[in-house]
Parts: sequence; structure tokens; C-alpha cells
Amino acid sequence: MNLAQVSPLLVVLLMAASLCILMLQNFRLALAALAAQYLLIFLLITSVLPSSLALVKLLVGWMITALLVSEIRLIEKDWENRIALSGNLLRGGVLILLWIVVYLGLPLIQLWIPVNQTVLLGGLILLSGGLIQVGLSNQVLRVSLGLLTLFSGFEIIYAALEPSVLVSGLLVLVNIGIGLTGLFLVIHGKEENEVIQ
Amino acid sequence: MNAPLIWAGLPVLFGVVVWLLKKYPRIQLLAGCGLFVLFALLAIFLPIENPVGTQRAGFIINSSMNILGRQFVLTFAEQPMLMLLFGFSAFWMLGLFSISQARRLVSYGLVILGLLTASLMVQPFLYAALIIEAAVLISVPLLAEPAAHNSRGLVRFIIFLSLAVPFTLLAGWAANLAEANPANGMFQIRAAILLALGFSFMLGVFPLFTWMPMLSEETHPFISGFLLNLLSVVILFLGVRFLNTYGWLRTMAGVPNALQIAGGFMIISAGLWAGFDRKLIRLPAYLNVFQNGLALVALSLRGASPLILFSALLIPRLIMTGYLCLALSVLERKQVLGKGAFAAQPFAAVMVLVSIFSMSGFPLLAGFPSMLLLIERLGQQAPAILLLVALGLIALIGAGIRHMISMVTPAAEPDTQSLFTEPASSVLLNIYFTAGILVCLIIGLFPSRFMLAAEEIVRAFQNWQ
Repeated sequence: MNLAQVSPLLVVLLMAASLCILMLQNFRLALAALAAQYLLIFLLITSVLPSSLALVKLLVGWMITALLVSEIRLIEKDWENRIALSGNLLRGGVLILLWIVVYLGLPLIQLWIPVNQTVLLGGLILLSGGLIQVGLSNQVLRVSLGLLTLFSGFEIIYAALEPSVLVSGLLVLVNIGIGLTGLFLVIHGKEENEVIQ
Repeated sequence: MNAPLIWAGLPVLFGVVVWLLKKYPRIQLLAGCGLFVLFALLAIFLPIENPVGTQRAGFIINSSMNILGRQFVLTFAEQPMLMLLFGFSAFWMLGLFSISQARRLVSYGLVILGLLTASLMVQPFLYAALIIEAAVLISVPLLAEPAAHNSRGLVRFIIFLSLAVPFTLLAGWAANLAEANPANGMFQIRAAILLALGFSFMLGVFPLFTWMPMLSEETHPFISGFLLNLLSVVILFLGVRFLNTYGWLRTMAGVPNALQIAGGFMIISAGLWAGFDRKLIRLPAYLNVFQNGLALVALSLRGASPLILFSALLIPRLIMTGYLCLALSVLERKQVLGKGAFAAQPFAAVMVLVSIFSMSGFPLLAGFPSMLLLIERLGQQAPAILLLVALGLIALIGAGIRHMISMVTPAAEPDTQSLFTEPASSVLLNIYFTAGILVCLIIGLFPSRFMLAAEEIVRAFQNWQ
């Protein structure tokens, strides 16, 4: 089967993964969704980048996920929300609304960013998912995962615009930096709380 | 040997080495400050692309370096800009001898300065956004205070600076397209809008500056002040470089108006916020936004060299912010940020007030000559924006008067003990503050010398006129 034929399916799966990261209360499941999201990004991005370069993005994504998994016992409490149901419904609702707007505005956006429609839609879905996560949460861990999602979306679009090796390399470094920074801030916050107690 | 390696590679490398010396804080501080001073002196005395030494044992510093097929270029014309950045950092680091809580700045400062300098050298321009993002992420451990109970400002700092990356990268791509298709105005508008969004996030254009006061409150004033100012100045230089490179953008019809409106709103909002905020610790952030606004307004002006005015605004800003943050660090350490400051720490309190009034363009102080020039030009070219600037200045002066009244008011329970048990370092600090006030007055009274320096700093941007 041609990749172009399955691309719309990839976009739908990306939506599911993004929604899971946003709404799931279980950090382990959210990390599984993050890992799946990186796999889907890899599959989508192979249509615009050489497989070897796309593979780097997958490996780095999984590396960040593994990094978070390695400290899962320490940080998973920081993922949970007290206002679980209402907050989740709000976030999910806003995200779906934003996706509808993105879908309707896609032809207009394509005038500005002339790339393949499916790739653009995939990138915008992740961008908006990340933006909602970053904007509607003040938990460091959620913000870092939101930024990672946002950058993943941007990378998909930018790879189609300018397939440069150095930009891809630097974006990979930025992704690792965001993952490490998020982890550092969560653990740093925990250490402070322990000292105060 | 090449210039990018000396002023970008070596500071990063030495920053890591100095960081490894953290078990020996005294040596770490001495080594770090020594390196800052050394790099500043090298920027002054080591000419790029010119023979150094004798004919037999001489050498030439090359201006470019290749990494992964991309070029990092630093020319002789850009050296004064480098002097400003390294000189400012060295001046800032000298304050660390009296502020022990902020000593971790010395190693991180070297790495961050190296990366930010690299962002000014990289070609094509679009890579700069990624290097700045790397510097921002590296600065997170520096900004995460050991005793801070929340890090909302820090998280916002990461978010806002990260959001700038996609816009700036897309702006770089769009600018190249616009240059390739000069007949298509749509490409140019797209590049300008993307660039404006990227720089708005990075510079904290109204209303995107909320993270700055929060960050100032959460972290040590000496650290946040250094980072906010250094980042802002480097980003402003990047903006100037972008405008200098792409002539079509500089001459585009709406660009001066956009710069004036953005700058005007930054000035008035920062002035008003500063006037209504009771917390003195947040003041450096408002002043940073205020000065960024002034810089944008200066860049928007037509006629004789707006760039010289732009750099004339930078010099007093960097000097006075350095002194302000040092004085705030002293007041914070003594827990007299507000009432009782004058009685407990008179030199630091006077320094805070002189810095505020200098930055609001008070006559005879350092900020006055450049502010006078700016107001004069604005009066001729954009009276509406002048109104915004005047309101911002009045609000800032109001903030200064308010803090002065607060500092003069005696504290409810005066800490008389600290008045009689002054540590030895406070003598050094008092000398430092006295020198600061004198420097402020000298620049205000004899501006011609520093105007010459201002001219040199922007020598690299020759396409501007």
C-alpha cells in the first residue's frame, strides 16, 4: 500500500494520540500515546524527508519518552489533575473546536504555507494540540509534553518546506532540551518540597 | 584561529570548564570573571582579518568558520558590537564578588553569552532562532531558584521563547522566497508578519511580556536582570541585522508604523505597570520592556542614522540596569526592598533611584542625551507616538517617586543591628555604587564621547541608509 493512501489514516491516528496526551490522567498511558505519536510522525514525515533523517526524529522522540519513563515513579503524580473531568472536557472540547477551525481554514493556510495538504493538516493538528496543552495547563510536565507536541507539528510542516539536515539536527537538540528541562523542573520542584517538609 | 571560535566556541567550552570548578567557588568566580574580562579585552585589542604581531611570529584571525556546511561569520566591522556584549557581561560579572547567591551565573553566563554571540554570527539568519532557544533551555537550571516555591514565570519564559522559534524559522524561509520573487508583494507581507510574530514573542511586545515581571520576582534579580537584558540586546541586534540584510523589508510601507506602534505600546504599558506595581523587585523587567520599546521606536525613525540613536540608547541602558540589579540584590539580601531601604542601605537605595530616573531620561543623567534626541526626532516625525512615549516616561518617573517615598519611609521595626554590623564587602559595594552614580553623571554631562562609541557599535550595518 502506498504511503500517500494511508496518510489520511495517519492524520486521524495523530488526532487520537494528541487527544490522549491531552486528556489521559494516567501518565503511563499518556507516555504510550506520546511514543505512538512519534511513530506516526515518522510515518508521515517519510513522505517529505529521506527515511534516514525521518528515523532520527523517531529515535529522538522515543529517547525523550524513555527518559520520562525512567523517572516515571518520581514524576507521575505531577501529571494528575484534581479537576479531572470538567477540565478534561473543556480541553478536549476546545481542541476539537480548534481542529474544526483548522480543517475549515486549511485551503487558506495552504496559500501561505504551500505544502501537501495531508502533511499540513497533520502538522497543524499537532501544533494546535500542543498549543492547547501549553495554554491550558500550569503543570510543568504537561507544558513540556505540550511543547514537544507543538514542535513535532512544526517539524512536520517545516520538513516539507525546507528539508535541511542542520535545521533537523538543531530541532532534534531543541526537542531533547525541552524534554530534559521539563524533567529537571519537575524533579527540582520535588526536591524543594522535600527540603521544606 | 578564527573569530567565531574565539568569541563563541571558547566561551562555551570555558563555561563548561568553569562549571566543573563548582566545588571551589572562589576559584570558579575568579576564573570565570577573568575569562569574561579576557574575552572583552580580546574584543577590543584583537583585530579580525588584520595581521597581529610581527611579520615572523604574526598571525591573522579569520572571520569565518564552517560547521556542517553552514558559515559562522564575524567581521572586523562587527567587533564593536562584540565589545559591547562582552564588556557589558564582564562589567556585570564584577558585581558577583559582592553577591555570593548569584555566583552560579559565572559559568552559565559564559555558555549563554557564547551561544548568543554564535546566534549573531550564523548564516543564514534563520538558524539564530534555534541557537537562542538552546541558550534559553540552558539557562533554565540557572533561573530555577533553590528556594523558589513556584516557577510559573520560568515556565512562561520557556513557552514564550519557544513559541518564537517556529515563527522565526518560517520568517527566514519566507524572507528567502520574498527575495527570490521581488515582484510578488504577498511573499513580502507574509515574511514581515511571521517575523513580527517571532520578534514579538522574543522581545515581549505588549501584551506578551507578562513572563518578565514574574521571572524577575521568582529569581535572583542579578541573574534575571543579566539574562533579560542580554537576551533583549542580542535579539534587537538580530532584528537590526535582519532589516539590514533584507532591504525590501526595511523600505516596506508599513514597517516603520508597525515598529512605532509596537514600541509605543511597550513603552506606555511598561511605564504604567511599573507605576502601579508596588513590588520593587519586578521593576527591572518593566524597565527592560520599556527600553525594548524605545529601541523599536528608534529603529522606526527616518533620516539621519536611526541606528546611532538605537545604539546610543543601549549603552546607558546596559550600564544602569547592571547597577540597578546589583542594588536590588543588596536590598533583597538585607530584606529592605521598600520601606526602610534608605536608612539601612543608603548607597544601594540611591543607586536604585538614579537608575530609574536615568532610564526615564531625567536631565543630567546617563539616559538623558539619547532620550532628548529620540523625543526631538519623534516630535518631527510621529507626534502621536511621542504622546505614548511621554505618557510612559511620566508613568516611569511616577514609579521612581513612589519607590523613593517608600524607601525614605522608615520601616515598622528598623533593623538597627545591620546598621552596625556591615560586612566588609559593603565597603566595596559602596565604592561600586558611588562609581556608578559618577559614571551616570559623566555620561549625562559629556555625551559626545559615548555618542562616538554608539556610532562604532552599529558600523557593521552598512546597508541601512
